[in-house]
Amino acid sequence: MELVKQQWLRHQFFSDPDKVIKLKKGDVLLEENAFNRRLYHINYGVIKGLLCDSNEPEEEVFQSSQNTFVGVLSFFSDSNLSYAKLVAMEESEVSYVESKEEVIEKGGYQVFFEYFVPIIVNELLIRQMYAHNMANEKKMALQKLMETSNLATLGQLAAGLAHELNNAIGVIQRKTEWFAENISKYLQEQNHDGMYSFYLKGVERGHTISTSEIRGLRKNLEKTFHIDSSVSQKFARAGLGIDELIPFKKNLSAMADRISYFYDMGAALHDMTISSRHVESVVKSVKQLGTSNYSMEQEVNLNNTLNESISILKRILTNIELELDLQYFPNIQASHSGLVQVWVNIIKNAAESMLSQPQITARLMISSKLVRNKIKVEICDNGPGISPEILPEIFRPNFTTKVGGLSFGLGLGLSIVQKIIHSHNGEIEVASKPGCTTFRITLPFKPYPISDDK
Amino acid sequence: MAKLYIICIDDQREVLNTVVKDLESFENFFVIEACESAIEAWELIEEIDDEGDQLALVVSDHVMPDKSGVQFLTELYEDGRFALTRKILLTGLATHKDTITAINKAKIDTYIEKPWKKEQLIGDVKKMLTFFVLEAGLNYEKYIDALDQQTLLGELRKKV
Repeated sequence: MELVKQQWLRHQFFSDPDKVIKLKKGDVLLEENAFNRRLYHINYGVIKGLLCDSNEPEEEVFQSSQNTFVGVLSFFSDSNLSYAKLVAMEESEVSYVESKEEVIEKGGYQVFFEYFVPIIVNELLIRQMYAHNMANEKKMALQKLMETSNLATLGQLAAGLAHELNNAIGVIQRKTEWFAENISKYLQEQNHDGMYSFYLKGVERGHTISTSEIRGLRKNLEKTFHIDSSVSQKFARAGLGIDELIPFKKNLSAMADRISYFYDMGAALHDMTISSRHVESVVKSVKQLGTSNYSMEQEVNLNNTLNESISILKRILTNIELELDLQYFPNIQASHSGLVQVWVNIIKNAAESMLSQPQITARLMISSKLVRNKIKVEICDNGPGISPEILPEIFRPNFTTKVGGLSFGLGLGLSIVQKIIHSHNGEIEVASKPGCTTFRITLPFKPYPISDDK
Repeated sequence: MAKLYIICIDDQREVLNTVVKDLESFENFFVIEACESAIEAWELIEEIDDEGDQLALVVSDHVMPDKSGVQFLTELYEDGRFALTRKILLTGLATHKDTITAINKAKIDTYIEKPWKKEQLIGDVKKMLTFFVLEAGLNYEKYIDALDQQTLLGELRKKV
């Protein structure tokens, strides 16, 4: 019915071949506030209406396409002033009637009105919907902006906090070093009949053996030296093996307290160093959320950053089968520490998810290659996968599946990863199903510039 | 004679070692064992039970991989063999919900927040051991140096 009316209108009023205007993209049909008595019918193409405020960028208020009308308000109103600027968005053609008088002449205003009103009402509805959608979009954009600014505030807060903590932990680190050095010097001078070596073992080794290994060692020592379990416990905790204790075997029981005393002294310093380093790395990861202070100018061997990350995570990767396929390509310009952080985060997540199902042999595959000027890195694990419900969330800050605060668990890991990859103009994708989760990182191949004098 | 055990559980070795070190004064009366996970602790507890020894106290961290401290302590409570065992939760991060579960389901006796003070830890351990020794019907005079004198006196007075 609408179509019939439309066709009739068009035939009756808009079929004069002399009253046709062809527009190229960007052509202005009518300026804002211009005098207009014409009514335009769009034969084809799209025309948008713009409001121009000298202080603001032009604002789009409607878009009209084929078989709709523009110039409606100025045609019908008494002022005959156009409220918006009309611009063709693509190649378009319009036909027009010159004025109300022409309409009367051609078939009567009454008839015209009867047919035109439903169309114009429909047109108004479309424009209102358009305005509504625009307002909605703006609302969403504003919301997003608010979130970002929350994040920015969080980032500033984090940076401030990080600075304070860094100062404190810096002092603790330096003083620990100072203590270690001076105690070491002092003990070396005094010598304490060979006890210095146990102190050194403590410093070097700390507590590298597991508690179940300690229990095994203790039983072993008990059997070998026929000593009391409380004595062997002291040696076992210090990780001292049979070979190391043989020189003292005549009076082990008498020596136990002294030996473990010196060992513990060293081990305490070792623990202090490890723990303050731990704080340092936590602080660093919080700080990196707030800022993007990576030097992107470094010459980086990408495969080295992968290998370095694997060695950082050695402890967690012990029971995981590792398959590496790292192909050679020239060094690139990137941030070394940034990339290491990316790999460490992804590999650590993969390892933790795989270790959550001990009945399956954990397998991690890491590959890197250069394909058509893009570096592609894939990290693939056979863990339980990421469920589809949470997959879209994983790059969001504050998102974590880790209960409580195990190994940081700040939920910042992947948001930092994404930030670093984006700062390299790269992309990160993830595909996941049970038994196969793949993180695909694509970086533009940006070779490190070789200086001319070489 | 049956041995009495104290088991400390924490997945971070540096922390675990510090707890054990803080408790070394109890070694004259109790065997102190360190475990890096709840699973390891269970293995050890079964051994202790097989030997006919007794588990006096568990000091456990909460946030650990595989099995949380609260989960472990709940299992221990529900087991029945260790009704007398005293339980301390030593943690730096437990949500409100975790804490409620710890009290209602695991029936923990004491909650200590990290970072902890050595004196506080020792004081709480002494109190817990006092309750254990008395409830187990052991000769408290033998352990007197490891017990909290005030708690001991209070409990003895109640009995009179």
